[in-house]
Amino acid sequence: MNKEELKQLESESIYVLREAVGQFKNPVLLYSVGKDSSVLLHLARKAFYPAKIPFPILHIDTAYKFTEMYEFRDSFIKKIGANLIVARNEIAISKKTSPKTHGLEACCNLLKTQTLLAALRENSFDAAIGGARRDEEKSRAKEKFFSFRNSLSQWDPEIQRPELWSIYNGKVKSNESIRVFPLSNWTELDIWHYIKDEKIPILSLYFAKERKVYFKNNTLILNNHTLDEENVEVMNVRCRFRTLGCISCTGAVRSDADTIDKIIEEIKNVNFSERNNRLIDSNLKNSMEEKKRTGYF
Amino acid sequence: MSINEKENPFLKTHKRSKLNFVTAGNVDDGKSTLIGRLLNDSNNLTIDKIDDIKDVKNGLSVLAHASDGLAAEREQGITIDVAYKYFSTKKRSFILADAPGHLRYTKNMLSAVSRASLAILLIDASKEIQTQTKRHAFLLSLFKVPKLVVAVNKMDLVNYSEISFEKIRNEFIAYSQKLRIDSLEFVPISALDGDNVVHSSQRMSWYKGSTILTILENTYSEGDCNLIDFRFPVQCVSHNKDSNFLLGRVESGSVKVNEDILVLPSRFQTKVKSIVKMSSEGKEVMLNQASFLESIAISLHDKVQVSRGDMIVKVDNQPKSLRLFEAMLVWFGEEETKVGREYIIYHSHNETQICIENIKYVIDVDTLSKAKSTSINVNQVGRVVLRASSELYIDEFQNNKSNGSFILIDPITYSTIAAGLIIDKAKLSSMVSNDSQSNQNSLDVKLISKKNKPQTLWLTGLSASGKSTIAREIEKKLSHLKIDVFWLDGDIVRTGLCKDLSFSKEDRSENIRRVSEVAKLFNQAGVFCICSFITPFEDDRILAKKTIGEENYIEVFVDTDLEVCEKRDPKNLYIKARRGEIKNFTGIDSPYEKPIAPNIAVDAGSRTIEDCVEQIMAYLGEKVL
Ligand SMILES: Nc1nc2c(ncn2[C@@H]2O[C@H](COP(=O)(O)OP(=O)(O)OP(=O)(O)O)[C@@H](O)[C@H]2O)c(=O)[nH]1
Ligand SMILES: [Mg+2]
Repeated sequence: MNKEELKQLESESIYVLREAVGQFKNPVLLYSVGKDSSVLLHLARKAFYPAKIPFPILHIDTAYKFTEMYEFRDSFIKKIGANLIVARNEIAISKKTSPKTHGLEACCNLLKTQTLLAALRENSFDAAIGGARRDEEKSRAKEKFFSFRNSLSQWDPEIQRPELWSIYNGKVKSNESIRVFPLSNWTELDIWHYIKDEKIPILSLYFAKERKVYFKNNTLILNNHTLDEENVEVMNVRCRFRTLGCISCTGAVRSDADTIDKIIEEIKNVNFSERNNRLIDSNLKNSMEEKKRTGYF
Repeated sequence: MSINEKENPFLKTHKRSKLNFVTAGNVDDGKSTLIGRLLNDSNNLTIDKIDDIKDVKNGLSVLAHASDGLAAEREQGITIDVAYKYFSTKKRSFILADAPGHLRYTKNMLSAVSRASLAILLIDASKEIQTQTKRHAFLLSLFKVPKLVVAVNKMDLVNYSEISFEKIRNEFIAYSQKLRIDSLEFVPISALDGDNVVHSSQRMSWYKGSTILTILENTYSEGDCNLIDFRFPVQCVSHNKDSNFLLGRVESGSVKVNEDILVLPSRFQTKVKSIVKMSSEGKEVMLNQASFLESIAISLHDKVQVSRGDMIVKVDNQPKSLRLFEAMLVWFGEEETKVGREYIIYHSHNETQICIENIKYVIDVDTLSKAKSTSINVNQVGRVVLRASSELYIDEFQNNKSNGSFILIDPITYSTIAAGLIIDKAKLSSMVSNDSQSNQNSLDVKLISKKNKPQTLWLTGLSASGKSTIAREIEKKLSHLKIDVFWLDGDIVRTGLCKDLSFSKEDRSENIRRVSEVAKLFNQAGVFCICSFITPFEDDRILAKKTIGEENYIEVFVDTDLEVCEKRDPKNLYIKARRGEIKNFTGIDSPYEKPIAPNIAVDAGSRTIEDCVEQIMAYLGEKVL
């Protein structure tokens, strides 16, 4: 990896972030506390420096996130002085909605997609900036930097706006919106190199250590007291997370990589894609496309 | 073909950026299959992805599904929108855009093309070249993609025959002569079986060129950046304590702290006070300068009102400020456009109204001819005159891709309905060349594909031997190939640079000395130079060769008999010399020493000018460029 490549990616992302602020009345940045979000937030600070980030940060909290994520989120946002909005589907959470009660898709839809859409509506956000990358998944590979959403927040990959040169058409009518993806061209490896070079603070869940886990559909799930499944066989496994979502649906990978350098080496040689351990993604062949069509990002 | 890195250290340092490339060509010619093959054979498909592209019915891999990721695409076996894929080899990283081939998705294809440094155009070897293939080739040249690789695919269907390959190759060359293509290469492949994609084909041992991957690894991607004209369109302004910061990206050229700048449209002149960035620790980093494609924040010395869409430029290098200008439009709208229609234009962060003032012609992609038309239909390309409701600060697309391009937006639906490329009125015919009868052959194509090192072609010969005529033709050919070229002619030099010189032996030497020095300077500035001078003395030619540098000096002896020259005598000089009215005239009362070892000798007395030009071009193609 060379510095020139990262410099170009950084510059492109900053350009896109500034376009979002230049073109929209009320943009928001979606922050999931994961590695891509952390890079995105760092880039947003750079893009508007020496001023503060000129838009709020939105976290969609399903209540099933790892404990460490909440602590990290609050301390980091406080440190950089950003304005955080936390959105939760309190009704669904109080009714104990879970993958077990509703199934993977419905749970994800209620706690994530619907919560997101409600938060966007309530705050009249006309653009939502997200850290999704094209390299992550086959339908995301089709995304534009400025991705049009209709008045129901739906994505229609068959009639996307063309995107010529670096001219982004963010014109929308009321209720329509744009999802902005500044990290479109970054790969997982780029993200880690950048985290290393820029010394971006990152959750310890990404680093290997011995954790208490159990098997679910061939995936290593962290043993957690709030969501304990019955009759699971808990083991001690040295592992780490490549992506982070909800505890019960995000698998860990066996790994010895306890430093960034080791993570980089691991990714270079790995023979599985990044989101392979997300139960929800691999559940159906086109599950990400389906979710995106309904408004997920 | 690999380019020698040692020769150009600049290119070497820039080589390490990711290469953006795109696939193009007619529907079903195998673009997505090639991508799948490329990813698979370069070990860039993970186990789960290999699993994902297996056909549910028969369990066989469908390579195209590696990039055709939408459910509808897989069902219909067709690409709908561009898929972006990322992969790397030991040598390099790539961003690849797999574009759709279907006419209906031309706008999607162009989204990918507009960002590409290289395009692979696939052509099905078992068919004739289709209109859609021609349309893509035309669009690639219109959008100035610096390098084109034509992959003649499905060679397995034509028994890996060299003749079939040559047929397509010649057919394409015949078509592409009317296009501006900087660099062109042909590779016979089978995307399905992998021949010449990552691995050389055993079955096509007649093909001696590189595989697709080797070409990709060795292509320079910075060929078309504009490092000269500083343009900084402001994206937004951030207000901070005592100063305002202008946020944006340097779209071309570069800028330094303390340099004089001009703010458009206010035309306020001031200086750059600071250029800042944030360090990884959240601290301020002051830069002395910033260049091409850097995203920066600038503060100015004076308090000036600046807002989004304003442009910062240098006082002595300004874009044109125009309301009326010409452009090529690629039309995407389902509804045709006509004179008088109004749209929204986005250009360099500026948004304003625009009206179609005139439609000059539309282009027939089959023949590349221009046809009169009163409308431009979906997927057509036409040349228009536009009138903006406020001034725009524009450059020509040819010189500045970023400030020479724009999009049109439908004022009702807000969808993007056209891509626009600004043309300078002075260079009316440059987008599509007019001289369709120019008899370029395949040698020329070879010329284009090699990176040229500027040299000097020195034509020596008697007065009226044909030097200037040949020089003019060579100049045309080279500039057609987009090689920067300058022609120095004896008659012209004698009216300026050397007007103080006579035709004595000493002054003839001085004349040649001055011209050689000038030629050397042109070469150093990256310009190919053609000199047409009688240069009658071997000593002077040796001097020219030394001055210009032996490796850069190509001597052409325009060998026409004195009799022939004297008979032609276009300027009546021979008659005058015979009468004694002119002294020291070469061939009459001053000697012409025939060159001892010219690089090329052309017989311009008995052969046609075309033949001579072709002979010289052949030499250049083989040995030099
Ligand atoms: N025999 C043979 N068939 C090929 C070859 N390459 C591709 N094909 C077949 O051609 C068909 C179309 O291939 P695709 O890769 O989907 O074509 P495409 O150019 O991507 O098409 P669009 O994206 O829809 O424009 C498929 O059935 C492929 O298997 C080849 O080298 N040989
Ligand atoms: Mg395809």
